[in-house]
Amino acid sequence: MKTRREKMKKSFSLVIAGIVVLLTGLFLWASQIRDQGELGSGQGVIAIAVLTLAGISVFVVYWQARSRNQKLKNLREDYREHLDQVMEWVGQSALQNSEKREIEQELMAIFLEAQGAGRQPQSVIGEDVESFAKDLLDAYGIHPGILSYLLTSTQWVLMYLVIVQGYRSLRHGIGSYYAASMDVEVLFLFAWISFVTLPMIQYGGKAWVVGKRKQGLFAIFGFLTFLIGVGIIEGIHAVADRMPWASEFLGKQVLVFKHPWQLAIAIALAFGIFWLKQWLRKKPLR
Amino acid sequence: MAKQTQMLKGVLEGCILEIVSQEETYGYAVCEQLIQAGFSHINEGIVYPILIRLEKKGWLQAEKRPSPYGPKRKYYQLTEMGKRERMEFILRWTETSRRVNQILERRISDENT
Repeated sequence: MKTRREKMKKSFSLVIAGIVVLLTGLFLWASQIRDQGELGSGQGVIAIAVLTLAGISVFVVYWQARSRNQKLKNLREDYREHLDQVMEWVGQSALQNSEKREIEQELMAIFLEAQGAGRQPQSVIGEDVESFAKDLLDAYGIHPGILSYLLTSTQWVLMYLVIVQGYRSLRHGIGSYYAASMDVEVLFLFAWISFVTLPMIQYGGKAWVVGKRKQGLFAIFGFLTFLIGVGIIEGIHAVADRMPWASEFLGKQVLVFKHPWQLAIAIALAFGIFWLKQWLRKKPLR
Repeated sequence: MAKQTQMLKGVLEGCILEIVSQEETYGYAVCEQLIQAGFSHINEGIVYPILIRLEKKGWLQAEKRPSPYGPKRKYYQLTEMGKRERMEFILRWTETSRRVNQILERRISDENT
């Protein structure tokens, strides 16, 4: 049986893998035209790595779904749907993986016991799954708010910067990681994805899984915001000839990590944010 | 119903401490005991987050043990801090209920005269 969450995860993995394959194909095609039929060795390696990763990601999603179905085989369909709805909220929270596993195990134990007693899942956690999930996260000290959103998005930006600089040094065959600069427009796009696109997709995904279809549309809006971000960049490109600020913006290159210590600070900051989030969530219990 | 549940949340912490003080027990059984005591609208969805909160506060400690249904159950028992908190709850509740009863009795007698 497939729950809404399982369907969503499988569809997302296929859609994202499809986009990655398409973009990689376009990238290789454009590179061939630009470089007159020759691909740099770095470009070929990156393309193969990206396609392999996309394939592995889809495989992992399907394999996880299969082993999860095996683990939850004793749960009735309606209980399974409720468990998945709660776990969607828990899974996207700042809880540690061990805590997420513990919650799933505990809920499974409770659900199996209630199922054995002939009860309905609504009589166990109430009609409003979202409210139960929020109560549960609150008990663990998780209070999603603007600060948590800003911290998570900042973590994503830092992660992208570290990876993308590595990618660019490989793609352009630059010997040193610390010499690969980035276009400002790329930085803008990563910030846009981290602060707008991903939070909207996550919010919409959670809402859709618990059956809130209107809020679930935010997942689609999230994908649209990505296109809007790309559209903004393309718009700037279109007006670059007429507007000096636009051509200046597009021409700017930033070398984010010039020295190893800068990279070390970025990584330390990403971990620091992780610990800050853990500390913040324990604070109200002290 | 919702108002009643909200009002009860604080009281339930005390009730759960009392139930756990009598014997080591697990979430589902705590809920059953509350329902038997008359809290008929209580469900595991209300009790489970409270148990987690009490464990995080250090008032309960949990141990996982096998259950006949498959996944391990968490059995709870009171910590020293939990025992002190239970005593404080009993004192607070006795005092509060005495005051509330006084007010209600006065009102009832006023209405009767």
